[in-house]
Amino acid sequence: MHPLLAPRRPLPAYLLFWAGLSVVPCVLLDSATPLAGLALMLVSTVGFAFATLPTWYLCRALPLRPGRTFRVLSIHGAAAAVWSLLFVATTKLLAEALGLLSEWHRLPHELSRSEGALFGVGALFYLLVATFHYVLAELELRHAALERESALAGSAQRAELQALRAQVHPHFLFNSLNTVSALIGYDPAKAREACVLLAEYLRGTLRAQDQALVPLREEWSLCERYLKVEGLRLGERLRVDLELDEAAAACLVPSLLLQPLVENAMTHAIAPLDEPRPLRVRAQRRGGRLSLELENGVDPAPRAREGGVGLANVRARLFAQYGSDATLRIEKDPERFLVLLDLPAGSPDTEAAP
Amino acid sequence: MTKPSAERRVLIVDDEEPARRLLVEYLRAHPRWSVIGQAKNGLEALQLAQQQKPDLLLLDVQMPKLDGFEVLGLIAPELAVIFTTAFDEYAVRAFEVHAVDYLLKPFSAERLSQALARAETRLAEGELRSVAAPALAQAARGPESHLQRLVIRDGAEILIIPAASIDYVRGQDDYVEVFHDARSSLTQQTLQHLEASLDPSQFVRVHRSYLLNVSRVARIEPWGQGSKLAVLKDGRTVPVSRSGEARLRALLGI
Repeated sequence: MHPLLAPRRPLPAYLLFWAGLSVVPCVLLDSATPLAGLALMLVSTVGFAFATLPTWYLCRALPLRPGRTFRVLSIHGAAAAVWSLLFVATTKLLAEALGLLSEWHRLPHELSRSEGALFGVGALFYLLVATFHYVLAELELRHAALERESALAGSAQRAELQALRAQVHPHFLFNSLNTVSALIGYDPAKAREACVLLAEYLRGTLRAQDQALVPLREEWSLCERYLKVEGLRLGERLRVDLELDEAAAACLVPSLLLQPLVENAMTHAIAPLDEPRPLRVRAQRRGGRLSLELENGVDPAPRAREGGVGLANVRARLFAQYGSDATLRIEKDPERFLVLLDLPAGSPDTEAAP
Repeated sequence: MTKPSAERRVLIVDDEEPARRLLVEYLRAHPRWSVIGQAKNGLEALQLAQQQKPDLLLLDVQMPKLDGFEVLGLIAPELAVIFTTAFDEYAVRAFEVHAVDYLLKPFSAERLSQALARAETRLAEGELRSVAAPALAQAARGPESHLQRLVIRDGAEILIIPAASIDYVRGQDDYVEVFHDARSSLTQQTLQHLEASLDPSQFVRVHRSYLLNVSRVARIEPWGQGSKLAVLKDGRTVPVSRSGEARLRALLGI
């Protein structure tokens, strides 16, 4: 389809431009009745502009490539001659018609004086049309390339999100398997429970990887399973205090948003401490916002710098999903480490999440 | 293989109860190896090792208080060590400190038996850990990161000193004296090695015998022939040599 005829494209503006150009043949004609001359040229020029719109297809079929100059020039030259003849002929016909009016009867005569010049104008008009269409074709090409690029960027971003999500730490698996192996010796029932929890957790993370957004309730129960498995390993040292309000549970959140934060707390603040402070996780919905809080104790003499991979990961995913509409804030003092998330409270029915 | 003679004493060190119980269960099949204690963190391990004089340590790496490598750094070297951990990234470091074996959790009873046989050979031949302190500290630190804390035995006390709490360090032959938290502690290390381990953007060698935490410096004053004196925020002073001054100024950007 011709780009000017597509919806919301500026065909009227294009024709208005040509209406302006009709002054040129009008001046050439130099009619004794200027109003008649103007009417004549206005109709024929705008008509010409409209009729030459199919030049678009010719221009697309004849792209400007080095080495094809002669071919392009000769074809457009021929087209210019044909279109110009048509232009002169239709203008003549129109002049005859308008000349039927008694006060404009001199129009046909005036026109026959400037036929040659009019032919030149027609040819120039055609070249202008062709140039315009080449520019248009180039713009279309660029636009398409840009669209392709952004589509590619979109799929790259999806792949990146996928990679960010796919992260069940092998250490967690190995440690859990060791716990199961030990429990088989002295508490087979618990060993079985551990297997079921572990399977449920793994299945949950696999399912979560296919979905961009999940209800917080699902993410929450995934974390609970994770914490239960870790609880078998760490016993008394893991104390958890979870608080999920009903309104928050239904909100949509990026899948595996909370889990890396819980895992982070586990690695940096629960496992390295002998007398742990409880891990506190709280979710609340306030109007259109969802707020998540994780609080844990701090290792007074950390062996390694905080990795922060989990945090950076969550931050990147929040940004990819919500742009600047979501924040991750960290509050830290010698006693505690607090992660505060604030994001739009999208729910499945309102689809408030973008 | 030497004929097993005496009973071998084993100390189990792991912060996870199931892991300890698993080792106890596996060891039941080896009556010669008797479990003389179980420690659930690095400090307990240290105390028990001193009191009970085990022949073999079954040692986890990641634990509260002190990790496995830090424990080894403080323990008398006459014992065999088998690491047990879910992390394979410590293996190289484990063998650098002459561990007998390195068991990746979860492991089988057979795998433990192999490791015990190896330990038996080592013990019988008297080829036990004799690793220089720097290698141990290096192992405790890990390959890429800078040392985040020093673990020093000060008499009966074990000090865990975060790097940020160190004001400066004075080198004396094979020892260094670490000034921190308004006191000082001696540890068997060389100043060169400590300098290489600590974060170079925080610690600078200002003198042949001094390593200084730049965040403690209040000002630099002239002091005698060509040399200077760094005055710390609490008024203490540290000598600064000519080349040390250049390094210090480069780091402070003055």
